[in-house]
Amino acid sequence: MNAMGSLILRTAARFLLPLLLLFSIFVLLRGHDEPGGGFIAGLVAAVGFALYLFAFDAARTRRIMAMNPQVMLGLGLLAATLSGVPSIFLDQAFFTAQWWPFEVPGIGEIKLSTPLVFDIGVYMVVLGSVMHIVLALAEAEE
Amino acid sequence: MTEWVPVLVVFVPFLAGVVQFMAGRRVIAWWPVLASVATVAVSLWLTFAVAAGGGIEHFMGGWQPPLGIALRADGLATVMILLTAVVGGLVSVYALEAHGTGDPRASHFWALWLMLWGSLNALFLSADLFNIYVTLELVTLAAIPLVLLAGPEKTVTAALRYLQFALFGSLLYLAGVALTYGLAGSLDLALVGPALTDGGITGAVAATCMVVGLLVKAAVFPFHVWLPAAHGGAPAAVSAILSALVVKAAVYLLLRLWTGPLAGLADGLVAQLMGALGAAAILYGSIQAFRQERLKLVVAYSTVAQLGYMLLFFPMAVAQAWEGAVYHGLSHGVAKAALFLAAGNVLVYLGHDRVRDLKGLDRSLSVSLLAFGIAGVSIMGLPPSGGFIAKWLLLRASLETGQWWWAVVLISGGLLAAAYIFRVLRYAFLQAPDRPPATTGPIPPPIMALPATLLALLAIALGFTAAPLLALLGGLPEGTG
Amino acid sequence: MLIAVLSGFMLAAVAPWLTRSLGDKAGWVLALLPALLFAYFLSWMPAVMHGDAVVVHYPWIPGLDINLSFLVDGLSLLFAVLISGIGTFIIIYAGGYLHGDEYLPRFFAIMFSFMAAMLGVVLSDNLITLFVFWELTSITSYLLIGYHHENKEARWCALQGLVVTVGGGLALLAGLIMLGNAAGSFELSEILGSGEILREYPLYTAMVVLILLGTFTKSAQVPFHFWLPNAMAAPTPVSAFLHSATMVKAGVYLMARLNPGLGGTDLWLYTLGIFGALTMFTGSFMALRSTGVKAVLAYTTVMALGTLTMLIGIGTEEAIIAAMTFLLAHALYKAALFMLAGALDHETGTKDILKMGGLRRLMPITFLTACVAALSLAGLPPLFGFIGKELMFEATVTAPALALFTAGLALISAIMIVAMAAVFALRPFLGDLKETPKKPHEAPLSMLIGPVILAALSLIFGLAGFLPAAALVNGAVASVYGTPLDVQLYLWHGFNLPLMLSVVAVIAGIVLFVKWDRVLELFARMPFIDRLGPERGYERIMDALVWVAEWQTRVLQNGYMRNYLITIVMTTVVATAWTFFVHTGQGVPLGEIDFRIYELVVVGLVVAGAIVASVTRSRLGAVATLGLVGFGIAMIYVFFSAADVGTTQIMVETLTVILLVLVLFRLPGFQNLSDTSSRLRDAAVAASLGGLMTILILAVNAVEVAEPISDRLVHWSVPEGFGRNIVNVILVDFRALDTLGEIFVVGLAAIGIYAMINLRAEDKGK
Repeated sequence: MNAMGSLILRTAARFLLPLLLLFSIFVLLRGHDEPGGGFIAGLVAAVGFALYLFAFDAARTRRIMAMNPQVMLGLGLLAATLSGVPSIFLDQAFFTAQWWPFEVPGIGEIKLSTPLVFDIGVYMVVLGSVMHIVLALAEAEE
Repeated sequence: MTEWVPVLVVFVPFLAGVVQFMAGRRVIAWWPVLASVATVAVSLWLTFAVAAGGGIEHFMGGWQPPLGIALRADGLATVMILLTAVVGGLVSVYALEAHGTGDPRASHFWALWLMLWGSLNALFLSADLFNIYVTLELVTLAAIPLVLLAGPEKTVTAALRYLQFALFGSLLYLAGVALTYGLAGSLDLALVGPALTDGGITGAVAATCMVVGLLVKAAVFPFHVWLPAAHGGAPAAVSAILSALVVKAAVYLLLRLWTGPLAGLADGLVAQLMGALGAAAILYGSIQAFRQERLKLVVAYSTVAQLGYMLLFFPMAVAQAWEGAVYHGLSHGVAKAALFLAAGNVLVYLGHDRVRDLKGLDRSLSVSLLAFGIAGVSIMGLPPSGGFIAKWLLLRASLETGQWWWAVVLISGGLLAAAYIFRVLRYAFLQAPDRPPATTGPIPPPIMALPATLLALLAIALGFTAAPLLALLGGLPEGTG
Repeated sequence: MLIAVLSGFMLAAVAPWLTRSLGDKAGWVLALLPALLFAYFLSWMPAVMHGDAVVVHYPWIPGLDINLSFLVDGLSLLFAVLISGIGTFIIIYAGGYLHGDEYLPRFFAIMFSFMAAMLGVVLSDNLITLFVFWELTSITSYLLIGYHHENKEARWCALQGLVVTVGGGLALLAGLIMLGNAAGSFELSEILGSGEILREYPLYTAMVVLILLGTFTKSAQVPFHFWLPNAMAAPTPVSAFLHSATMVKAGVYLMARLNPGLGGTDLWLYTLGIFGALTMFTGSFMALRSTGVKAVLAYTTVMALGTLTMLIGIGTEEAIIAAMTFLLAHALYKAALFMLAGALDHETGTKDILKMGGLRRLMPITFLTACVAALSLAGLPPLFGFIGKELMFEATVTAPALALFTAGLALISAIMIVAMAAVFALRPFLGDLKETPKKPHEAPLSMLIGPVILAALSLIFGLAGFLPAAALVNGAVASVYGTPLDVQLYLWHGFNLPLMLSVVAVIAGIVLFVKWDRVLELFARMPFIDRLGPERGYERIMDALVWVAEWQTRVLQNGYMRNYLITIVMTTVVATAWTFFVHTGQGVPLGEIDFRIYELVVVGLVVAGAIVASVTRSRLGAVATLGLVGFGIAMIYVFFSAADVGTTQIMVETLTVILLVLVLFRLPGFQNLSDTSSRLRDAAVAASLGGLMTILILAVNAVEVAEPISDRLVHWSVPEGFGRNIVNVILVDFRALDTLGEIFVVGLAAIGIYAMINLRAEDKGK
């Protein structure tokens, strides 16, 4: 891939990646009320990293991701599954949503909740899975 | 507390699989053992809870259908989970030695297998048409990489073929689910029945799509072509799981849907057609099994044939056929797992599994071959085995309904099974060795031979334990027939 | 009783181990079981000797109505006593005959299974149980016959026996099911009392023909007789057991058993009478042509089986008494003779009578025993075989039909049998000592005890006919005839036609014996006889089967994925289309189609993209046009205000293109490997699926749908799910389990792909 990566692409990727990541977190957090959610957000982030991979190489992409996609995938699955657990202690059915809304001065109401944890899990799984595959393919190529 | 058991049965293996996956190369040796024991334990807990107190329901997230999804452990689901626990538990013991726990491949195996275990349990418990689709996908996508563990070069074609068929089947099933949803406004198995029955053409087409999709997944003749290569090529432990549990999951769904939401649509001609597919599978699969030159392919084709018996339920649709078909699923499950594990031991020892060259194995592999023979008794349907009870029930059902032609199929199938089982045993047991067999591997240790033997003995034991198991299963669901 | 039947299977399980640990004495110790069984069955004798029957029920699975039931009456007891009694000697004998044989442990295991299965056949009360045991005897005998597996011919013979008897078994099953349905019960004890109903049954003829196909194949009746002599390939103890008391007698047993229920009709009389008599003749004729010790005996078994069938068919009082007496006599002498044949073969190393001679000094006990047993075979006084033969002649001459035919064939057969009995008993022993492959000496005790006792019994029963009459024959006759008869067995019946026939047979037989060498020369000049046999037909059928199997593999399972895909697509199309048209009748109700121009444009783009993707020759072009299809579909989602789904689709499309680009350059270039006609065929298959789906969607659209659930979802979303984005509330809350499942699917797919790439790299690295 290195040979194909032009200067323009590299520069664009460097700028696009943080932007796409920020956007993906925005999409993730607002998902419960407006179009968005963990799945789309994960895909957006994955597109960002995939572009970066095209511009640079697999090793650099791994470094900038900071977390092994395999681990991210596993953690995501764990987080999503464990978001169902709190309901156990309240003697409610598994995956019964728990809400802890609170006001943050200046920003407004923030809804902390188990569905949010679940959505973050989804985000990590999607991002982790796609990068797991893409990186494996790219490394096999090299 | 019991209302939590269905959740545990699904999530204990899932979480264990995720942990195994994350651990990656730093495999914890005792983790698979702990995970398998825990899964078997919760499965047994569920069995006893359902046996003692009747069915258990758990509404996920506290949302009742039609809004949410229910996990429903009734008799049928519970016996299938019990089967999965028994076969899965013993295959895990086998795999501890066969796959080990120390390297990346082992890690892959355990992660995938534990997730497959959870997926199967979820499939049996799910009471929601779309959720069932999700579990079907889970089962397929966990199963295919397991096939590849035998070595991608050898199995990649088989695995991809499996994938193509499975996806085609899933898509068809999904199309049927979508139509049903449009018709009924619900996806719960217990709620969609009336809408499907009154749904005219949409109901009929939805039912057709779901049934044909599941037939593809279940490798029912003529959709069986992907099965032998995949089941024959996979590692022994995986073959055992695939043949004993995974394809059966699709047949289970056919039974579940037919006696549930589709009961009002069941049409005599369609039922006979299903029976005819089953009969064709029995005869064709058995003849092919007899002709195979490789031991694992013999066993794999035998699966094609044995699945056919469960389809004979549809044309008869009486209580005995119901019991017979499910009981056949159980006894075939344990017996087939035993056959595949025994065949795996042969492969380990000889380095090949060509039927004609199995000479003089009786000394070195006596335990495995004994397991093969005992399990073969149940496959043939000879007394006193679980296979016999199942065939007996089906036979009586065919006589009771006056459909004697199925009786002829049942018996022919048994005889053909005898032919292919004895063909293998004759070479392995009775052929005088010209010289000591040229082996490439060590004699498999007892820990690999014992699970096969135990499974084979269980297949025989099923000949004596029908009463409590059939009581747990419960009678034919109302409104069928 | 249950233990008695199943003990053989239990012993079979441990027999290999016992044999190894017992060493030389294994045969003697293992024979204890049949001996015990023999004593056990004898103890039943008082209960059934006057024609009573006892049914023993064992509930197997209470509540399921699965029972094991056994019927003990005179007939079943006669067989049970023979099986266990002769079985005892056979086991002892096998210990000597197969001494030191590597496979002896296994041999005993199969032998005991076989014995148990045979006991199951003759003692079962339930037709289905009987059938199961029946097939078990086929299978175990297949293993016994094919015992010498290094010998290709033995394997072939074993397979032939299996195919013929198992094929017949299928017919039998159909017949038994009809029988059960006609009588309204599957218990023999109930069926046999309903003879009236059975004979009135509309399908009586079909039922009888099917059952007889099963019994004829099992009992080697013409034209299925060819497998039995071939089955001589078995080791001698097996032959002795198969031919005397078991296997081949199973067919005779079943005909005798069903006689009270099915017999007494013209169909029964003529079928059994004619086929039985022909078999009798064929057997003795073939015996005359044979020179192997075992072949001679095997063909005389065919003769005996024919005789028994014929007698059951005739079905008069005389005939049934004759049948049961003949059965007992035959079992005694045939077991003895086979064991002696084995002793000869074992000691001399050859099976050819012509190559033996002058053994009388070296093997005196064998010689003497052979003479006694052969006299019984020939039917000479004072042996028990004489009583049997006299009764047989009497039954044929007094038969209500076919008297001349059966009596004539019986006489001719008797002549030939006398000759062959003499050949067997005299040729190897008299004359000059001939050079044989092994140095002969007297056989060990284990190989002589059986023949000696059995031959002695032939003599004792002949002299004291009241013994077998009271103990065994009386009860058996009562079972077969249906009502008790007073059976008296004497050597001397006075001067009558049967005695005259016997005298003629003996004189002519002796003449034939003297001229036997000439007869053999005569046959040698007529090789065409060999080509007339029904064995040819069997071979043709087997060839045809192999051909069919290969043909279907070529056509159905040729390994090409494209053909498999065509199969599943077309099956789906036909199934769905069929359902569809069954429900719609002639007309297809189409829904209102309401569209806007921009929708049409997007749809047009999607269709164009799909067409270009499937005809383009460039990979990159295909990827690009597939992307077009994906984005078009995303647009359609957006038109129908599913923004979430649309966005997801766009993201997925983007990633798909990235992935495709990553793998694209690793693939070989496009090549056109299929010709135009197969491409047209593929196009037609694809179009049929697409077309069907289109029609379906249009038709489904026309149907009134229930109240959409989306209303309810909207209603619940904010108050209960605390979210305004319904899609997201469904995904993370209402149906979180589905989402969880799907992310596991995504994860598993990633693991799978990763595994495929990495394992492959690893394999290549090695």
